[in-house]
Amino acid sequence: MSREFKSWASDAKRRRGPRITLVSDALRFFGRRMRRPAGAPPEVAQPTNRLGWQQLRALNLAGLFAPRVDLEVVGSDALVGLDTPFIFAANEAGRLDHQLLRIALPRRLRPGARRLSRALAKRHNIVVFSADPHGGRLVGEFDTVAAELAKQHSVAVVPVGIVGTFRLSQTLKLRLVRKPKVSVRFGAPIYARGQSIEDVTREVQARVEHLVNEGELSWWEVERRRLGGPDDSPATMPRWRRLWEQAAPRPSEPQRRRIWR
Amino acid sequence: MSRPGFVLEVDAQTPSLLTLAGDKVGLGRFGLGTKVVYPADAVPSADPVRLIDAALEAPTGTDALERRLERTTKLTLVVLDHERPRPRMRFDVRRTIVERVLEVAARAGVDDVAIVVGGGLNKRWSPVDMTRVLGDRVATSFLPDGRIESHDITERGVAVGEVDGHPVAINRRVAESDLVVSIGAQYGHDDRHPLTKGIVDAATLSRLGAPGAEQSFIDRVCGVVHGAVDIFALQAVLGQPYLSGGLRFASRREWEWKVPDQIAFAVSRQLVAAFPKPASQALHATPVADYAVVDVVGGDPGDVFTEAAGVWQAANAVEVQGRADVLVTGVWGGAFDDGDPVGSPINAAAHALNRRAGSHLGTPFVRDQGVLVAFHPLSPRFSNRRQSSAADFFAKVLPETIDPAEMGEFEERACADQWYVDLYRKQFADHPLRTFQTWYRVAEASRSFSDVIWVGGNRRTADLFGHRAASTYADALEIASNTVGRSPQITYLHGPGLPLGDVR
Repeated sequence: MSREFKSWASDAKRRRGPRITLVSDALRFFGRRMRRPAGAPPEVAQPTNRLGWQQLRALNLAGLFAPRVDLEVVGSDALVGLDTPFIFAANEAGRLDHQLLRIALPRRLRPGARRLSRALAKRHNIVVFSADPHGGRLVGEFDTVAAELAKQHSVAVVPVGIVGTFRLSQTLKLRLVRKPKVSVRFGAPIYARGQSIEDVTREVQARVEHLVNEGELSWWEVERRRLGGPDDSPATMPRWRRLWEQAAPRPSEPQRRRIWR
Repeated sequence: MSRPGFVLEVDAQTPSLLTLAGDKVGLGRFGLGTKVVYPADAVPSADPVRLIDAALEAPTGTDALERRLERTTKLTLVVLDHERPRPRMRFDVRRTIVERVLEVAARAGVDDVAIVVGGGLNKRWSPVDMTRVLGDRVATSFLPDGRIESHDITERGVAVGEVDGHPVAINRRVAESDLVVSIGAQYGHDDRHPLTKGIVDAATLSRLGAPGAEQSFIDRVCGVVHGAVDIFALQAVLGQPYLSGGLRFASRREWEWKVPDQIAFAVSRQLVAAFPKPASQALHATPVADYAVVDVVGGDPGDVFTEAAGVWQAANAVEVQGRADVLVTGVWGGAFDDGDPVGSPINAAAHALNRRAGSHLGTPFVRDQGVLVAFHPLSPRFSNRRQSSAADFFAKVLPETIDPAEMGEFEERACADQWYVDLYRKQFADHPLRTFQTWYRVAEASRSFSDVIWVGGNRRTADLFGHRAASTYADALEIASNTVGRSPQITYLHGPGLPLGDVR
C-alpha cells in the first residue's frame, strides 16, 4: 500500500436496530397543509392511460365462474403499453365468445358490445365481432365498424382470435371426462392512422384469421406469411373435423411432474 | 407537454425538502437562500407509436425506412444500451420501436433480420433481459433461432478502418449488414456517439475512454464507424422518471403531496427502518419508472444523435442564475446500480460527480474550486458476480493510486485477466474496463472541486477516494466553510430526476 490514510478514519459498521419513524412522519404531516412556494408553477393533472403489467395481472376472480372450460390466454403481452381505451376485434365462433373474452380479461379492461361510440368516448374498451363464418371458413367477415371507430376516436384495434368455442354451449351440456379447452389469443395492435378504412378492415380480417390459425408459429413467422407468403388458412373444413381438431390434446401442455408416485 | 424545471429559493415558508441517500429517503431543511433546482416535471408516458411512425416515414437526411428495405436486405437492429436510463423504463420505448421497425421489415418481406444489443462496456444481456426489454413477441420470434445477440467486446470484430494507426473493429453481424437500424433512448445531453460506443471492440473502447482522450479522436472513430455501414438511426428522447407505487412521492414536488403520497413516504421510510434489507431491496433495488417520450428522431445517425441531444436539452434545461460555492446533491441507489438498493461507492461517486454535477450546458453549477456535498453512505459493497473487478479495483488499485495516469498497468492486467473476462462473457458482469473508465471520469471531475464531502459516508471509503466525510449536512457545511466561507451560495439538485443546468 503506497498511499497513506488517516489512521482515525474508521470503517466500523454502525449497526442500528429497527426504528420507529412512522409516528414522527405522521405527526409531521398531520393537520398541515403545505403551501405552494412563491414562484413555483401550479400543479397540472397527469392522467395515465397506458396499460401496464399490473393491470393485466389484476386479480381476476371471474375465472372461478368458468370451471367447466380449460381457458388459455395467449399473447396478453401485446396489450402492455397500449393507451386505453381500445377496440377488440374478435372472431365469432360460438354463443359464449363474448363471455369468455370478458372472463379472460381483468375487470377494468372488459369490453362492452353496445353503444360502441359512446363507450369509447367514456374511455371504456369495446369489442366488435366478425359475422358468422360461412362456407366452412373459421373466421367470418368483419365489417368496417372497427376501422371507422378506430379512426374516429384515434384508438388502436387489438385483433383477438377465439378458438374452441364452436358449439361450446352444446358441448358443455355433455358429461365430459376432461374440460373442453378454449383459447383466447391477442395479436399485435393495429393503428388506423394514415390508412384507409378498407385497408384497416382488411388487416384486421387477416390478423384475426392468422391468430385463429397461429398454433405454434411465432409472431414474426405469422407476420411474414400474412404479408407475403401463401394463404394457408383452411378454406373448407367439414364440421366434424373442426370439432375433432378443437378437442385434440394440447401438444405443448407440459406433463405435471410428480415426485411421489 | 410537462411543466418545465425551475429554481426555488428557500425562504422561511419553504417546507422540508426531499433528500435521497442510498436507500434512505428523508425530509430535510435547507438554509435560507439555498437555490433548489427542480427538474422538469415527471409525467406518465403515452403510447409512442405515432411518434415512431412519423420518424420512420419522415426521417431527417435520408429516405423513409420502408423505401430502403428490399426482400434481400440483410437487416440488423442494434438496440443501444451504452447509456441506460435509471430507474429502468416501465414501458421500454426501445421495445415499441423494435416492433414497429419489424412490422415495416415484414411488410417489405425482408428475410434476413437479426437483433444485436450494443451495450459497450456494460454487462451483456441475458435471455431474461432480452425478453424483459424487447417483449414476448420479439423474444419468441428471434431468441429460439439465436437471432438476438448481445455484443461481446472481447470477440474479434471486423476491422472497418484505422484512426491514427489504431484499427477500429465493430461487431461482425453489424459490419456484414446491408442496413443497420440503431435504436436507442436519449436520457442526458452529452452522449453524442452511443452507436459507436455500443458496437466497437474492447481495444477501441479503451482508447475512447482513456484519461485525457481527445474529442477529435473520438469524432474520427465515430466517422469511421458511421461510414462503414449504412445506418438508419432512431432515438427516442425521454422525459424525467415518473415513479409510482411506494415511491410515488419522489417524482412530485413536496407541496403537491396528497395524502396517498404522504402515506407512501411514511410507510416506505418505516419499512426500511424496520426491515432494512428486505424492504430496501424491494423498494430501491430495481425500481421502475415511466418516462414520457418527448420525441422520436429518425434518419441519418450524425444528425439524429445531435438533434436528439438538442431535444433533450430543450425539454430538460433549467435556467440557474449564478454559480454557487457549494453544490448539494442526493445520490439515490435506485438511480445507478441495478439490483443494489444502496449502490457501490465507485458508481455512487460517478453518479454524483459526473451524472448530476456534470449535467450542465458548459458552465458548471459550482464555481471553480467550489465544494460538492453528496448524500450517500459509500458502503464498500460490491456484487460478487457483477462487480467483481470493481471490488478488486477498490481493494487493490485505489490504495496504490487514485491518479488515472498511473493506472495503465493495472488496467492492462485487469482486461487480460481471464476471470474477469469470463465473468463478462458468461456471467453477465460489467467489463473490468468499465470500472477503470468510471474512475477516470470521477478523478477528472474531482479536480474541479476543492472538496467533495460525503454526508453520512463511510470515512475510510471517502479517504480512499481522496474525499471527505461528514456526519451531518451541517457538519459538511462546517468543513466547507474553510474554503467557501461562512455564508456560501448553495445550489441543491432535487429529487431522483436529472436536471440540466443552464447556468448563467
